[in-house]
Amino acid sequence: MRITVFGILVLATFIQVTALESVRLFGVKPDLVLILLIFYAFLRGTREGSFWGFVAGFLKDVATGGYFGLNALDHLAAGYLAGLMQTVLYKDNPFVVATITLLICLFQGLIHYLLLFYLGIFISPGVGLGKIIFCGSVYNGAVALLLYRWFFRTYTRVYP
Amino acid sequence: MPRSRRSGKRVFFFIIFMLAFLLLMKSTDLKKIGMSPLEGALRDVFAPLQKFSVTATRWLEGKLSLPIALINATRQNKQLTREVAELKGRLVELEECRLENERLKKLLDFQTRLPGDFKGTSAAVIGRDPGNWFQTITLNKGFRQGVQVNMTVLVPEGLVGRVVKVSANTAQVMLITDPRSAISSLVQETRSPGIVEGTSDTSGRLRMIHIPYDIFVRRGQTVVTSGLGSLFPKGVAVGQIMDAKKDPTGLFYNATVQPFVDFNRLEEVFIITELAGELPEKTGDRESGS
Repeated sequence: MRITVFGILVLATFIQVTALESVRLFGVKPDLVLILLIFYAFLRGTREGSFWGFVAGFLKDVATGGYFGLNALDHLAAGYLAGLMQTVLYKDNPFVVATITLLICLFQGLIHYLLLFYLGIFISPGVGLGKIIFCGSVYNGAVALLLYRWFFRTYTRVYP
Repeated sequence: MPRSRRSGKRVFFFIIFMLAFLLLMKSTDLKKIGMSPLEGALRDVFAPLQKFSVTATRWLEGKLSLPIALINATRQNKQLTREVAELKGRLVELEECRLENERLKKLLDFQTRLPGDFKGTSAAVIGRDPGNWFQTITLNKGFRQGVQVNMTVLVPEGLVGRVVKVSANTAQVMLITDPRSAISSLVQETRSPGIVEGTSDTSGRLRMIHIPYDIFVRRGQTVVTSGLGSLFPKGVAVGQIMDAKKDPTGLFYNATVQPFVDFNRLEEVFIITELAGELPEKTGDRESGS
């Protein structure tokens, strides 16, 4: 199963750096890797959420080049947070998951913004918080709403 | 083992893990190291797949947008015919200016570098940065094809960026819109110097800072690279000034610059491998614009 999850994450990263460029809205593109990670962590819990968050972030770091650990750390946090929701919320409601995705993307974006400060990269709050984090999170939430039903159906077939 | 002791141990390991990664992150800053062998190998393995995926996406986009394209085609055709006629006229004027410029330069024995002095190679864009924070692209040519770090990347419209990492068959280019990019530039009409920075703004605009206060900066002026202490050659078009304001100190102007290049639609680019007989510097430092 681990190989399958890893394969899906590699494929998602691959799509992220190629095809998703053409679906930019208001200058931002959805984060397919993060969305799939949140889905999986939400269904599997904190332990797997953190682990796969780290792996997904690390794959992105390889794809981005430079700053190894930047995505790994904030995706680890996002995976953990999504895993925390496992026991407290309904798993089959796409609206719940879309809201969680939006909130976790906001949180992950804030961590990323702070880590950029730590690395000495300043992006103005209007652009960083307003355009990239907020617009990106809303877009991710909307994509999660569209994808979750399919993901949940596939997941329940694998883990009946 | 008691539960509290076990969770204390976990917290301890978590803190160590976090610190280790924060240090790793700093140590992998673009200006400090090149590409690791693992990273280089992964990029080379994925390069053909990335190329295929980008081509497939473009094909799909083309198919989906065909009906809309047909509706717009007639209108665009009329407009383009008119534009072609206009541009032909302007081309004659520009040719006249170029010849005049060459004569004046010979007279002044003034050495400048023109685009004709550039030697380079074209490359296809095969990948993009996965996130929204940084603006980088991956090209399908690497050191085997003569590409080196810090080489300038252009398209006919203007400056694209510079090569920051190279593997055997791929190169990573930091676009001028990346927040880590800074280019020493000039306002073409007034020769006012300044530094053009990337902002990560989703609108794709740039910011030109430190423009001297004594010469008025206005909308529509063109920004070009200055070539001063820079990795970029002189006179490459960067963008057009959209608006300008005094900075908080009142000593300089800050301007918003719209780049000439549409970075969302980059497909092919040109890498300058040689400039008037010399190669660009091979340092890994960040462009400072000084």
